[in-house]
Amino acid sequence: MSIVAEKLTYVYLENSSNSNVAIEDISIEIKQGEFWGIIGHTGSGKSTLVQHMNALMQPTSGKITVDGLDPAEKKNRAAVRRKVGLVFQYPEYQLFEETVLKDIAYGPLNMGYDTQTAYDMAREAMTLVGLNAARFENKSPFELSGGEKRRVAIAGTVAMRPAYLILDEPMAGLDPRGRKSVIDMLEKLRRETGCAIIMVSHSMDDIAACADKVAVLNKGRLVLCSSVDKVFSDTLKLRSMGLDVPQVSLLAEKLNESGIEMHNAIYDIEQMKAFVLERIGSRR
Amino acid sequence: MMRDITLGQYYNTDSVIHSLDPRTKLTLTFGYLILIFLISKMWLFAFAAAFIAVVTILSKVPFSMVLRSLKPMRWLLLFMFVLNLFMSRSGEVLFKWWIFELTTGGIRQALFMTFRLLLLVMGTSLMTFTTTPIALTDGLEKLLAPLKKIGFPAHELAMMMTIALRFIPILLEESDKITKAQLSRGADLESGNIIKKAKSMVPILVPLFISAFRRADELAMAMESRCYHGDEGRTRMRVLTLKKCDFTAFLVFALVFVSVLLLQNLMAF
Ligand SMILES: Nc1ncnc2c1ncn2[C@@H]1O[C@H](COP(=O)(O)OP(=O)(O)OP(=O)(O)O)[C@@H](O)[C@H]1O
Ligand SMILES: [Mg+2]
Repeated sequence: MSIVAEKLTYVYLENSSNSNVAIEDISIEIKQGEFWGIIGHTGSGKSTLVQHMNALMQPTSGKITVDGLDPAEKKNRAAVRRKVGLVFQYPEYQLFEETVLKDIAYGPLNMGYDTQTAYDMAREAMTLVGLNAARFENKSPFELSGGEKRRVAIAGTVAMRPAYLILDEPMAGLDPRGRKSVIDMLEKLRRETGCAIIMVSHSMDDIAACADKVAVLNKGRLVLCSSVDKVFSDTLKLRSMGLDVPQVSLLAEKLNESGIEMHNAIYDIEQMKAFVLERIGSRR
Repeated sequence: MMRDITLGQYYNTDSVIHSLDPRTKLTLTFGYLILIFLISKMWLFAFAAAFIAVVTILSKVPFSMVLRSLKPMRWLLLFMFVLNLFMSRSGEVLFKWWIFELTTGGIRQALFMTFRLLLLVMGTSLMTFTTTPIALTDGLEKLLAPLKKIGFPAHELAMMMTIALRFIPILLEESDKITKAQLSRGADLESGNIIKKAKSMVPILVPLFISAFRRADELAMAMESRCYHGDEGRTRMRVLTLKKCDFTAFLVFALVFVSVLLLQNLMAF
């Protein structure tokens, strides 16, 4: 059970003078329960790639399947969209209902659940994204704060209980505390629902904090694709594409240069903390 | 996708016609429209067609594009042709069936009206191919400026048009994005009867309207914070000036205009 892309290519405005190859020759497999980070510069094709996983776009060439279903066939698309939930960038702009509860229940209702079940699913999703159901359910989504709106929008997709949850830059425009709480929320979501999470982000640090696997896109091509520790220890390659390296990896690199040997790459702040404390302790 | 709808059909190159002042192009297009309506003999359309052909060559806009601009008009053209075919009854009767009567006069009239319409559309398309929508509204504002004295809101009108033009692509992109977001939440926009379809548009229209209002609000704020206070005392970044080529264009067009009318009145056929 996985999302499999094989040699996926998409060209915008094909057959026109300003056609634009957005992604090219991308092969990737995303298994159930994994936490992926997708990173790359602006315009590197991240959003284009994830829209293929949700059957919103059909590849120019190549193939993508979700649990064996091919969205190239129209009849599979609804099923694919049930399995794969996609939260767009700035999802708060898609809210439209009178109350938060009704808005979140829109997805489940479209899936054919009756109103009562849909509302229950919506309440459950609110709890999962950290919104107090009793307090928020009857509010209008338009009177919430930006961060709360974002949670409502994410809950709208979570309520559909996808097996794969894709978030396109869920942290865009949030302050550091907001970013941290989104990361915590995603980790909690994965623990409690067991769904795979695919997070598109610009920030290496955010991805280092929560993902197990990373895909790096550069100019529409998949340049790195493996576990976090492998990707983040390849600082040379990341730099050569002009991408940031997580702050913690930078520190590890500096420590290495100054003669403090580190046996394996450390990219996570907690691990680094433990390592530094241990070193200080052993020296005393 | 929605993005294929282009309102301004500006064709971006560098040519004499492109560099003409928008006021010149607006005035001359208006003059051209009058000329087309004054022509009453079929063979004189050849002159108008030749004129259009020369302008097209000068403008470096591919002929295929000018022809393509006729495509949206094809049903109107066909309708006009058929209507005129049976409406005017003069000359010999060629064919008669029930109340329909095909006459030589009818054929003449139908061809005449079709040519007239074709030339009208091609002429105005050439103007929009060679002038950006923003330049057009600028030119329009200038041309209408004298009317300000009698209280006509020329500046406000032009500003509204400019803003609307600026926002069309943004709103198209936004509706595309919102549609995708709701599709991925399982929205079904295709099946069902008309009422169900209209209902299924609500989740797209509500966010679209909200965002349009939000943008309007932000824009108003941004304009105000940059001291926009309407027309009075406002200077321009690009001042429109008439150049030598504009006067040449006027002269050439005047020659064409007068000679066509002379031919029409002097020639007996
Ligand atoms: N609707 C479109 N029409 C034409 N080209 C497009 C369209 N959408 C995206 N592109 C182009 O495709 C390429 C990839 O775009 P995409 O949106 O996938 O990038 P991204 O990695 O998500 O960038 P960002 O980080 O800014 O969101 C870009 O070069 C972009 O200009
Ligand atoms: Mg993007």
